[in-house]
Amino acid sequence: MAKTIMVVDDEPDIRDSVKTVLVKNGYKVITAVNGDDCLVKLKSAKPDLILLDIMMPGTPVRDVVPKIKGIKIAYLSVVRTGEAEKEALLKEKNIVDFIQKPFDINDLLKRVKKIVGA
Amino acid sequence: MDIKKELSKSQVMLVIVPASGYDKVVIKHLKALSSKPVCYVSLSKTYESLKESFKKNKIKTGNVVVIDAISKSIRKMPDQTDGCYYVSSPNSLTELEIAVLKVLRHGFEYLIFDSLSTMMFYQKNAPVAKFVAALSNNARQNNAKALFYTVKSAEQSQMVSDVGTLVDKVIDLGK
Repeated sequence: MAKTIMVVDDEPDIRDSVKTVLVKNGYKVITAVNGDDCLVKLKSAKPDLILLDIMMPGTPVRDVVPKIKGIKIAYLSVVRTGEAEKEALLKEKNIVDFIQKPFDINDLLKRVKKIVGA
Repeated sequence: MDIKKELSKSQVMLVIVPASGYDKVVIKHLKALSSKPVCYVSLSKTYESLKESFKKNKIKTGNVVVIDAISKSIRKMPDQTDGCYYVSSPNSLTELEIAVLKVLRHGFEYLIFDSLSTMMFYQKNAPVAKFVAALSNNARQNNAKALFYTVKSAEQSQMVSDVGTLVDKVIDLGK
């Protein structure tokens, strides 16, 4: 059965391009425009992985992430963080990867495969 | 370009920088100005990340106070630590303005705003222009010199045109 990825990003170009590549590679994709939209969509869906932009308008990820239970999350970040900060974020429950923007789409795909399988 | 020389002629400037060399330019300018007190507003790099960059570039941090508008969105942070004030998000313009004003009142010579292009992720042209006008006035009232940075891109042309009318000089490093 195809794995499901939720792409949460306020930039339509990122949502669309990531969705296109993931779908082409056999994943089922749900998109959300921000953290609030993500939480609403999680009421009726349980993806295997959430690719979550770290800075979006609306509720900050700091408040969104604790409401997501039992689903792996990889941050997509245009924000530059310190190394120690990145390590601390990766120690948080559910957080499995930290992907710096701009990212190479093939690298993103590799990382998604590594987390959820093909 | 000698940023100190430019600031001696123009108190408030908009600096347009190509994306490829953006970080280098801002750090170079900060290094040139950091012999005097600098208020550095960051909308895209956390204070921790900036500290690593300052260390790498041998910037003396004693004169630099950072207003970090990122970290609080990601993690629980205090309102203030040594050398840094934390603002809820880049979207909180009033909070950001109050924090800048608080710092400038303490005799800061320079204000570095990094960056308007990041602010445009969250805001439309009009609020950004209004915000720049307010910060410029604060800087002028406190005898501080202000540099507003933006990444050069076609998408920002309207904002650049609007903000350009509010500053003393526009420097386009992409020309």
